[in-house]
Amino acid sequence: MKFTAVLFRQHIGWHFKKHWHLQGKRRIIDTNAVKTLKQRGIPVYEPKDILGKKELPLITEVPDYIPQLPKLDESHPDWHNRVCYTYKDDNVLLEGLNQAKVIIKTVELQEGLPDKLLIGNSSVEIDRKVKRIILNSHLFDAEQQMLPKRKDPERPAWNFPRDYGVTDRRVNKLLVTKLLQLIEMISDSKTVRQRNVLHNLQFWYPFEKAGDLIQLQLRGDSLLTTSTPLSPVTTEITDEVELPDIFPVTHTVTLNTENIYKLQNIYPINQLISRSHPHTVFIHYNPTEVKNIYEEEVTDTQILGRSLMKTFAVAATYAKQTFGDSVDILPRPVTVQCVHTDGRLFHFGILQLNTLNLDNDSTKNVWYQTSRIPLFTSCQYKLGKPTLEGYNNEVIRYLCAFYNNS
Amino acid sequence: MSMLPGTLSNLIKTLTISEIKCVPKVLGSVRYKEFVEKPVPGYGISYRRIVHYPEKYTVKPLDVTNLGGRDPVSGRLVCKGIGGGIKHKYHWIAWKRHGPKEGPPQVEKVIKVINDGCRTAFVALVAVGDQLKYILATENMKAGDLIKTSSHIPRIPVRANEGDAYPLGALPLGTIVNCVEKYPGLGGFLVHAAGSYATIIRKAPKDHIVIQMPSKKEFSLPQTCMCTVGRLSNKEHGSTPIGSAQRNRELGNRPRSGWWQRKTGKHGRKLRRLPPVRTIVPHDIQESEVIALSLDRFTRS
Repeated sequence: MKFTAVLFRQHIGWHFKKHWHLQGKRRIIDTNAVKTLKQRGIPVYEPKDILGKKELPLITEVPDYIPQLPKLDESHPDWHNRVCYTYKDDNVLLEGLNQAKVIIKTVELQEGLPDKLLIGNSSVEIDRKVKRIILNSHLFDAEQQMLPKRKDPERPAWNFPRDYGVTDRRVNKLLVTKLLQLIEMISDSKTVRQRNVLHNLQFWYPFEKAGDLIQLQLRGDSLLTTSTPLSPVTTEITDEVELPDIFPVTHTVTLNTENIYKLQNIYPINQLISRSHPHTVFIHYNPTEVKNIYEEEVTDTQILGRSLMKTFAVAATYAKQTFGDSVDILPRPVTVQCVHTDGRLFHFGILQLNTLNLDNDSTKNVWYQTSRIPLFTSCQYKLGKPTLEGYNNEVIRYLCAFYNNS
Repeated sequence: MSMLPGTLSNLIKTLTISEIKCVPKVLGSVRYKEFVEKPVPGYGISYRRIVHYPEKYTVKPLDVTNLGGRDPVSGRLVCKGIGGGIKHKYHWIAWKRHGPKEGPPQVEKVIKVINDGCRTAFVALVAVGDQLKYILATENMKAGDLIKTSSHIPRIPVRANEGDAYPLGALPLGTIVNCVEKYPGLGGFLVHAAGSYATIIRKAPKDHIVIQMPSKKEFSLPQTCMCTVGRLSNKEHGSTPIGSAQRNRELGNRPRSGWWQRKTGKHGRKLRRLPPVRTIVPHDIQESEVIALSLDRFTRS
């Protein structure tokens, strides 16, 4: 008797199982039976509808001690069917300055700042102090945070060692506050008594433009306020001056489209407070925060547009608070100055707000600006030594002139 | 000698004990394997990466998962030679470039020409109205260019500029085109690689247009198929050597051994006459339903 013979046996079950897997997928050929039955008015049911298991009613809400956040859909309490275009701190406009001018109906009457602004000289002593401020805020601060990754386009596979140091937010904050403190020290005490500095303020301004609902939700990183509002710069008639053409793009491009929003008009300083009038808004440009939606580099004109939008938000919210909600053409133009910095490049602008009606083509707002001026060319450790190169005192002269302007 | 039987018996004892210890309680089947549906390459599935598309079109560069030549469902290695490399974000191309059926064409503005790591041709960021989208950039496209899109087929062929999108029927014979639709309404499907182009050769009956593909084969397509005018960008790509083995690894290709490969056609193709013109007729792409027979005893693993 041979025992091995039985081992030759095939397990037919396994073969069948495999065959079932291979042949168990069937493509249904459309015989038009459903169509014919429907034509004759005979109802057709899916087998699942009749044979399927009846589902037990599930408990939809499980009581929980941790309150649930509302869902970001139609059930949200702030949901609106009308889309609101919002502009926030991390947004930039696709067309930059030109798009900003179209949105808030603003024209540039001349290149550069108004001639009335007197720009003085700086002394050696002041320059020495400014240089120390730059080194203090860029290099000597004790903050050690992980900085963004560096990439070399020539060697895309190379990973640089991670850098630790002072973050862009902190550099900007330190630089602006310290420069302001220096200017307060060197300015006339009478002027200084009229000024006040406030930090991290929110300005929200909703408005209608060509049938679109737009809301600016912006932060003024530092706001210099004054006891008497700035006098208007120009009385020139702006009806004839044309706005820039951004065809084929519309003014709402790259604004956020949101259905969940709250419309609020916020000027964060109460009118009853003395020194409540806006004088100069200091805006920080933090490269880690501000980005294009398509993740390409932010261009110069986009940064200039950001200054204009933020300055407008300050001026417009102030105008609404001062002259009431229904104001159209302002009885007295509101002038606000702006300083926009990324820690190295400074951009100065002055906005004269003439009207809050942004729909028609009559009176327009006026904007004056400089190009982006470097405060220095480089500030870094070289061979272990903190080195500041290419200091430019133009910036501190402009800053002093802005501070003392009234 | 007197020790030997004792040692042997001891040995046998230990052997038997160890044998009992080693035997697992349930013997796993050697022949049974879990049934895996094997991936079949060659049907338009990429084994290089998966792109995580959101529901709505966006110009935000998308995250990808690199697959290293593996099938994402079964995990089986399908394609050798893929793996590693620099991870790139994916720029979602708006393949459908449909313009107005009547009247003047839609004008769009090129914002920027971007180098996309996931494809060979450059990608152009285009804005129109309040929309942004990516298209494949043509040879001479640059920021600030205005390009046109129209689905209208006029009686007289249009004089198109590079980057414009028109139906095949609207363009004069001899025009160089790229990103051609295979079926009307499908979106650009043919001619995507850097520096490639197709040429409109002649008209064919039943409102078809014959184009010559980069491979010199001739396709006859419906005249309503949209296409972009011009040659695709980055034409130097084909003549640029990779340069080094390391650079090839950066591109996500794994090392290969050997040089002579009989089957690759490295030293030229066999000269044959071209196949006859392939006519593509629009049809319903609706696939008939496939049902999987379920019988628990056989499908349960």
